[in-house]
Amino acid sequence: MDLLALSMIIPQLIIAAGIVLAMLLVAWRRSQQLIANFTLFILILSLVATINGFGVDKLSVTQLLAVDDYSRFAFILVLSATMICLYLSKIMLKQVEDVHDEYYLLLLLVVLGAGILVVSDHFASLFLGFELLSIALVGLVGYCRKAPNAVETGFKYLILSASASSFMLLGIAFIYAQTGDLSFTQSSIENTGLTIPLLYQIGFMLFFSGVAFKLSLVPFHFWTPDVYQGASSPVAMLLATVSKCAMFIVLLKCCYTATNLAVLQHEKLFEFISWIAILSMIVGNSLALKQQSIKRLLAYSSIAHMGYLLIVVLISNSSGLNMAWQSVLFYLTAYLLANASIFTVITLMDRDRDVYLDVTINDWCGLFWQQPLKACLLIFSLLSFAGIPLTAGFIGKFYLVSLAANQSLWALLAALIIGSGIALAYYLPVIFSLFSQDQVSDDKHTVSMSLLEKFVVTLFIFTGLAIGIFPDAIGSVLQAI
Amino acid sequence: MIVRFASIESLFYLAALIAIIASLKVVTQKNTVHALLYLVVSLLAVAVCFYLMGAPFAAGLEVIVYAGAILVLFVFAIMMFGLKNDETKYAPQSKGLTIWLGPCVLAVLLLVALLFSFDSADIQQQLNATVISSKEVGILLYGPYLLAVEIASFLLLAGLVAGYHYAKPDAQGGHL
Repeated sequence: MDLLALSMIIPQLIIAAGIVLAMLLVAWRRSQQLIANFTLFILILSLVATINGFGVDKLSVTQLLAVDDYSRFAFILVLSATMICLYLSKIMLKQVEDVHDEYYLLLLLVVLGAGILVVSDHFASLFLGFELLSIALVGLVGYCRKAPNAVETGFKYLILSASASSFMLLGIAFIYAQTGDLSFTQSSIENTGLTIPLLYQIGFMLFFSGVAFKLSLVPFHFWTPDVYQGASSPVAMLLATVSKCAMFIVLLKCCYTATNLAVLQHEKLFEFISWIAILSMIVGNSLALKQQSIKRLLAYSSIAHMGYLLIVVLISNSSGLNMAWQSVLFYLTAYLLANASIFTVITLMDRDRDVYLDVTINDWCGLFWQQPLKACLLIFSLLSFAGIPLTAGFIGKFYLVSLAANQSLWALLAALIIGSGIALAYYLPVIFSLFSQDQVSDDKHTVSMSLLEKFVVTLFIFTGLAIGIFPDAIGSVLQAI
Repeated sequence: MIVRFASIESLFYLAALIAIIASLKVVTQKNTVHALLYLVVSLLAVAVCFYLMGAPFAAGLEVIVYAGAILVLFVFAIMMFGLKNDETKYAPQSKGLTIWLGPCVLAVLLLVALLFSFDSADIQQQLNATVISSKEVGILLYGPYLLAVEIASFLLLAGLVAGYHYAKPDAQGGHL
């Protein structure tokens, strides 16, 4: 491992050093403000280092990691989502009276786990990153121990994620038994034609199930709504964005190798993954229809969104790889922005009342007449989720549709269209309720926002609009990769 | 007579079978301490499997770390919790030999398998041919897999911090 290789992973090293320094900082002086600012500083430093590294060719760092521009872009997404989460956490933690040093430590550990996942090139580093992400998230999910169901939520996540990793380990062991190599790129099986050894197929399926748990794809989705609801809003946002983004990127890195592209075209595996994708789109959207709790609704909609994204895993020829990467990264950007917007509004509402109370659609009735700024942000992000033109979500879906059409994946395309249709049936009522006149006299939304909060909300609205109207701003960056 | 049939494969499958039986007994036992007895046997059986695959270092680690340190922690934790009624309600009354007979028989079988492998010159020769020494493991860990070791240490840190957070007593006072 020479200096050049080491310089490739500087962003991750900064985070790792930040964790150690944060622990020293806690020993020196326990101050909420200090450690929050320190965390922000580390994140910004890492972001600068990541952006600085753009344009350098793909390079392997030992056999465990390989850094390319796709993973850099994904890490930028992760870091920005974490910064938003940090801002929301500061709002949330003000209400919970306790010392919160470990919250920020766990936050940095989540980022480190995600950072390792997005650059991993080897099943060993994949597994370690996966575990680091899960264990740190377990600590965060049940963080507010006084909240109802907090410990239950934490343990549900812990047990289920442990069983998912055991599935994954068994799968990796089977793959290793067949190939004798744990590296993504070098693993090759004899006769990469039509006959794929049964052991490899089973191994790949088990491995995929482990990843599908993290992405909460049907039928591994049962934990999602409960955990979203039980976790505090910033942590739910972290689950929806950082964890899914990192897992999806590493899944793609694993699938887009010469061997696995061939393996995925195998009839049984192709059907297996297609069914998971189609079921996720349809079931996820259908289950969201009757939800009253906003967080549960978002959880089910995230299942559907991951189902849409799964289309790109199934592309058949390697010529579409660049296009597929662009679609995924664009879609994830749009998805992340919309999630961050909605969770910002939820956190601001949490702040104005009891923090442990669940936000329901009823709480948002008539919001537009009292707090137009928040309501506008909600409308834009919901429309972006639904994929209405002039929003970032539309462009993301457009990428996916054109990719699916190019690769003639008609069944998946049909499911995507049906799923989006069902999705309108629960996004639009939420928007309508924002304008409802019924409860306008109610004074529940009267708490005003500070200047900074107004600025953040406005910034989200404009960023969302800008990406929706000028998608080239991001598209050209992605194309240059 | 038996020695003639005891090839390295048959010994391996015997140990693997013992591991499976013991693991099944772990999850079906109603008393935690009784389950732990089987867990020890299961871990020892896995260690024998490692040994027969030519990885004595991994086998040693399995015995020292799992059967030794972690099991002691388990027992310690169970005694600290003081489960009282939960512990004895569904458990059979511990009279007679039946409770420790099962684990004993399995452990003796393991011992016999291990002794056979020591005794047979043929097996010893095969084992020595493909041995992975602790030095090789160390070179791999601190060579190409150095980053994995570092990441694993952060994983432990994450577990420690998360565990501490769940276990710490409620607000101890003191200002922020």
